[in-house]
Amino acid sequence: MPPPPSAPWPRAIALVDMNAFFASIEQRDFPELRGQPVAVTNGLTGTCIITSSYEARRCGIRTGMRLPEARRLCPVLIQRPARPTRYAAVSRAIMAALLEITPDLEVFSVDEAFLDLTHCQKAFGSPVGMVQRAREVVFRVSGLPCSVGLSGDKTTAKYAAKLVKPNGLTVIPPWEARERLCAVPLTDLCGIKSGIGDYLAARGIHTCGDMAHLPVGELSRRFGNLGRRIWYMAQGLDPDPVRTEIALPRSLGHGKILPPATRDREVLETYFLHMAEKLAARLRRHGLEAQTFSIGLRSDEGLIAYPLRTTRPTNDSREIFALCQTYLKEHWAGWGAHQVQVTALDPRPASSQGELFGGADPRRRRLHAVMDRINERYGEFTLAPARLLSRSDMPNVISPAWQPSGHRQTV
Amino acid sequence: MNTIVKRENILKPVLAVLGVVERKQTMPILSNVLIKINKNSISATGTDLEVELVAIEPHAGAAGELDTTVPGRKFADILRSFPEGQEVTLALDGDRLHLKAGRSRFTLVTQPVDDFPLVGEPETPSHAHVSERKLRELIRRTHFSMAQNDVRYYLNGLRIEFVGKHMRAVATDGHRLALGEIEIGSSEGIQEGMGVIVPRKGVLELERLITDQDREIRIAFGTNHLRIDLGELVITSKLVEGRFPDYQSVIPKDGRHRLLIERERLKLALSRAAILANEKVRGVRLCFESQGLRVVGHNTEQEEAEDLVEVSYGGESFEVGFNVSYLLDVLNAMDDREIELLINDPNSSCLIDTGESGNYRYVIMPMRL
Repeated sequence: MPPPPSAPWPRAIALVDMNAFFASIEQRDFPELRGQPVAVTNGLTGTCIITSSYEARRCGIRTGMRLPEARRLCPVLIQRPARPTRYAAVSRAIMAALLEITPDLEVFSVDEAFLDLTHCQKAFGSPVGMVQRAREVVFRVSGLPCSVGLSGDKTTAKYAAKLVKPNGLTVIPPWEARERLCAVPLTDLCGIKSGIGDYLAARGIHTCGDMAHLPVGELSRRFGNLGRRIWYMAQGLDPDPVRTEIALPRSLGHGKILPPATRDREVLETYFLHMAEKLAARLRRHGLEAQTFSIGLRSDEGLIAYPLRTTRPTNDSREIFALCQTYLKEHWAGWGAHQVQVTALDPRPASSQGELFGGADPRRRRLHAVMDRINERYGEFTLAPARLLSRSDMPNVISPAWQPSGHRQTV
Repeated sequence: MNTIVKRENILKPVLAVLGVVERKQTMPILSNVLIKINKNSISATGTDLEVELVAIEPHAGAAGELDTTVPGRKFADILRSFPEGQEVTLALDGDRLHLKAGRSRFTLVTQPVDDFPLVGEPETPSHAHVSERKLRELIRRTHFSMAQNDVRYYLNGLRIEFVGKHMRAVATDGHRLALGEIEIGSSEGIQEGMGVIVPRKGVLELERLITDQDREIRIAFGTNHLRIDLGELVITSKLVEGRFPDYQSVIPKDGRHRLLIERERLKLALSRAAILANEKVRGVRLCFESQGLRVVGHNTEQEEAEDLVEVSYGGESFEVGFNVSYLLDVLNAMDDREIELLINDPNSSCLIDTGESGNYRYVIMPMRL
């Protein structure tokens, strides 16, 4: 039953999806590309299409297609090298602007965000008004179009956002979600791939509407909580919350390319110290520590890394560097290396439990606090161990797993 | 040759040693139990190379003799499946053991007795006698503070040492420490300050197997092993090499803040606060105030629990954080009506004991709030 128009929605979730994000940025930054079929590739040497403009898509060009094949479909296709730092900056500006609408924001990927508008209804009124504002805000800060889906749960919102592209707005009120999804094939929903799809198809469940005939136990027995969630998803009742916190990373690490076939122990140690300092500062920045670290050197035979453990979980570069020295002493036989790698394998929130025997020196903790504040204000390694004066001056590289905030926001 | 035994007489010793018999098949013979039957007794031996258990059923009155090793869990399951009082016939045929009972027949694969890894007698037989009941209490009240899988492997066990006419047990995981003492009776070759570390596995087996009986039992110390002889059960544990940390230095001798408090009331207050303490970190805040001790717990969802234990406290007020599980472990291990908390400041260790006369002392390191 639809509630009276003025009543707040029990739950209001929106998905903001930037349309052909990277290609749209290229077209906005370079007016001569507007109205043209544009394909973005990784540098000019990359041949795999990361994304393409709507003009290119009309010729049948798809993400993941190889350039030669795309050129056959569309001979006038314009190739553009990707500019990740630019895209990251635009993404960051968009996400920051969306926070004006609601603090309950989940950055789903570089060009998608879920907004939980449930709690803001008191302040800002109807969810439909809020998503209209969200589109204006996105356009104001980026000059780019986006598609928005609004419903009472994440899955239906995501499904709705796909319906009108580019520059669309689709509203499926929560009380209509079940009916609207009824005839939709299950595999059209986000997160249901062929594995689960085949399992369900074998039981005669093909559309969301079919799901109501299947006891929820059939899914939970095989897929656990995920199965239970899928059962709800198909009925427009996806219980998954908008996650404002970024999940703990499974690992956190830094690596750097060395001069070819480096054998000089001094040089290797300096590079290791450089990575240890970087990793320790990053762990501290996010209130994390770790006990098992993978330390390795890449040779012509590949990465030769060993997991080494500190006595207690730590975020002190001195202890991480000590593991690097152990690695050089016990696992390195003098072969030439061309990359160092230091990775924390089990990062977890730093413990506040005191130690009875030889705990971390409280002076070290204070030193780190001061050092981190100085480096945050004046730049990385403004204050660093003297040995790093001779560190590599190769620039930092952006990782594919980059995120606009949290522990992945690093270069 | 057939050996005839009563189900109970052989099942009992087998079940007693099954705790150390491995489920994983890393080394096949370790999932076997060594069975020795003669006209006087039936014995079963199990080992995981760290702890060896020998259970003896005297006066078992078996007809015939047997000396073999059989898969422990299968053997026990077969014996268990028979009704009480069932007579079981065992016959060894090459590397097979045939088992008959009523109309049921089983054939099990055995392994050579000589391959079974036995510890043997401890090398230097110094020993002491202690009360079994008191030893059980000593382990019960200290073992929970042992570390688990710490890289400091010597913390993954219980330190046993001799001080005067006492045997002392110390367990610590680096965050908390438990220390207890019991008197020793007659002894031989025991020197002042002598100490060993019993590995965690051995301690847990002891905790499981030692009973409340009021009798003297013998503990023998070798260079590499400790052996406890309970008569019907002999427990031998390997010792951990390594230097136990200087625990005396972390036990506060004196403190600026001293609070006498009823153990049961504090325990209840902590249990209530623990419900809403952070599930992972388990931190609670103890506020020493003039009205008493206030216990506060809160979690990441901003839920909060508060409890006040009214008690006279004349010192200055201050706050300190603790892992509530560590506190509750200690309070559960004690049985005194009133206990004393002694602490200098929120960054140094807190002593929990029953004053000078008590045999048990506990130290917990606070958490930063």
